[in-house]
Amino acid sequence: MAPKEKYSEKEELEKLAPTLFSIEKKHLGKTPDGYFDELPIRIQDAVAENEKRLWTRVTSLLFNKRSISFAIPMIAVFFGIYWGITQFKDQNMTASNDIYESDFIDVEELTVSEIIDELTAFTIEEEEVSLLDSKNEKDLLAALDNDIFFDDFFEEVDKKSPSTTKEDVMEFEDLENYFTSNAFDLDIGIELNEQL
Amino acid sequence: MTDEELVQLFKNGDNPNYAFNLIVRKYQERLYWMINRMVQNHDDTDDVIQNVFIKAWKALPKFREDANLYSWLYRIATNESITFINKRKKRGHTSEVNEMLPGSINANDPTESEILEKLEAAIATLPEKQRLVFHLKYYEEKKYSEISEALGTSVGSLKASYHHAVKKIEQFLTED
Repeated sequence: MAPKEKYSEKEELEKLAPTLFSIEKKHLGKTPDGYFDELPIRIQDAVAENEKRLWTRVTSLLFNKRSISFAIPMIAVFFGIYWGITQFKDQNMTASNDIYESDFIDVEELTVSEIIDELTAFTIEEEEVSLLDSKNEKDLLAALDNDIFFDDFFEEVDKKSPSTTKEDVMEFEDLENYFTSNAFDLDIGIELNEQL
Repeated sequence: MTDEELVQLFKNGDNPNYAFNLIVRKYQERLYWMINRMVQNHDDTDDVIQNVFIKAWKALPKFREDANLYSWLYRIATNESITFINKRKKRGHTSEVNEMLPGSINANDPTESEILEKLEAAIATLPEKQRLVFHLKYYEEKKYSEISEALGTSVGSLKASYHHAVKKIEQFLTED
């Protein structure tokens, strides 16, 4: 296909501009001898010179008397604003930490059945979803009785059911979306979120 | 080395100067004649081509590897040439057309030099962009798709531009 295309373009040029077509393609001008051998070296020098000039310009701007007298009050204003913002932020952080702490659930204060209720009673909008099936619930009770930590328990649960069905994945995705969109503050909720 | 390899060498190699040197050597002649076609003067071409490669050096670290290096360089060269011409116009300088260097044309056939001079004069009458399209199509024999990528202009516009340029040059050459 390519040769045919070239041929037709040539034909077109011959038809459109026969005089132009008859002229041998040559550059009129000629470069000085060795021009293209030297050009790369001159370009590298020009690049280095350009970078040096840029650096000199920046340093002279920074250490110029006028710049310094302008910069000092600007720096003072900047630090004033920065200090104000950090003060404001600290106050808000303390307030939010208080909110966080007030929602923290101390597991040791709960009975086993209260813990089970917490673990199993999550709502997505108006639906109640249980994260534990009946077998796991039974195992959790047993683990709690034997003073096994939650992390270890869920690790075991994951080991026993390594493969997830598409439905499971979908359910997890729904739950993940719920957790990320609803600023779930409860400590237990966050732990379970990590498991997902 | 392919253009991709050159760019990789520049970005990831220990010696970007070496990689850049290779790029300059690969494209300097083509860019030189393209710029020369635009500014029509060796000294000015020399200035412009240095500016082109300085800009390329600064921008190459951010060069997107899915782009075409040749088209990218040509685009820089086009912009620099047009900027240079506009500045020259503002200063009121007229372009000094390339002088024939001794020995560049066959002395035994003076008519060839006359024809070439007339062709250069014809090309000089074209507006800058048409001149550029003509150079890339006629002298460098680039495909329209390649020129389109280099200049950011549609193939249709390029065909129309080239067609128009060829007709004007032919008319100039056949005038008494």
